Amino acid sequence: MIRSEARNLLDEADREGKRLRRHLLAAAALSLILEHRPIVVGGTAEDYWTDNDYVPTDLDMCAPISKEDERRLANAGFKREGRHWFREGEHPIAVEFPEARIEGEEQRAVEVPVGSTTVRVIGVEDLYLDRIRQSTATPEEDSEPLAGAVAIASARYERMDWRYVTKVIRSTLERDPPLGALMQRIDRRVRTRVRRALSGSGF
Amino acid sequence: MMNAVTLGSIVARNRRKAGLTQAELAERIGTKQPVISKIESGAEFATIPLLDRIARATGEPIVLKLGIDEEPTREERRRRVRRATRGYTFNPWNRNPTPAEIKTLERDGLTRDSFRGSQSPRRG
Repeated sequence: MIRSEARNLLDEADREGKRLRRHLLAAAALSLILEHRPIVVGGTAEDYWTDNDYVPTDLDMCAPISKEDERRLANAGFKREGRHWFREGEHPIAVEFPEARIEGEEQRAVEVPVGSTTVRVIGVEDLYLDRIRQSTATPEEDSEPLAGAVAIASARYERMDWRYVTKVIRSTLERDPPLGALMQRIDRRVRTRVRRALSGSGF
Repeated sequence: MMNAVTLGSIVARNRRKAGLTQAELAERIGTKQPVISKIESGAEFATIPLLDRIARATGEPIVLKLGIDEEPTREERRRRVRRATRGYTFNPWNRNPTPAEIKTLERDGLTRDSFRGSQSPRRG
């Protein structure tokens, strides 16, 4: 049996037409169901931080998934389909748990209110760094990770802890010089582009 | 948090309001145009004495708010993202969705065809 609060959240998610809200409702339900509270990452987190209609294809969350968790997911109506846990309904949802933990600092995750509970969403700096890291594999100007990094930085420039971003990139540079150098170059390019775009906005 | 970009945008707005070019403002306060350019773009943080001179030259006081978080509204955030990404369209079909993801997209009417007419990303 799953908790009635979780069941209600999943029912609400099933009726919800807006994708971001639906994903957050499902994440809230899974936060009550799973042994460890998951952290929302990926496209749903990008959609949350940017308000930019990113259109995530699935709900990515980081949490260690045990056999007991798998049983609980099945009880909640999720079926395994490839790398996803899929829940059929009026508005179906595909959930993936790509990693047990986020790359970054968990204490930077924010608590987002959803109904009477909250969902943890990866911190904006760690999401930005993830997009910068992904951009190193596809450094073209019109790649989606690069556009994602630009979107995140422009949406949340004031609140981002840029010293932390610089610190993480510097430590990558020491650990993995080629990757760190690429990240540094892309980060600089993104920041310059965002500063130029924002300096004319009069915000 | 007040940062160089926020401050730069205030300087740029006040300069434009005063009808001055960057070079004209620079001349009035005894500096060079690239200094104003760097301040306005957020590449450099202006000192308080320099800000005072800018405020006097433009006739617009600069009000610094420290110790509070001021974030843009949702609409302003969306405008900023569109401007910075140059209208980039995030197309979920470019991510090679799995069959499970395809079912969620299609149920929401986000078919492959619905993204066909969308604006392509601009290079630059």
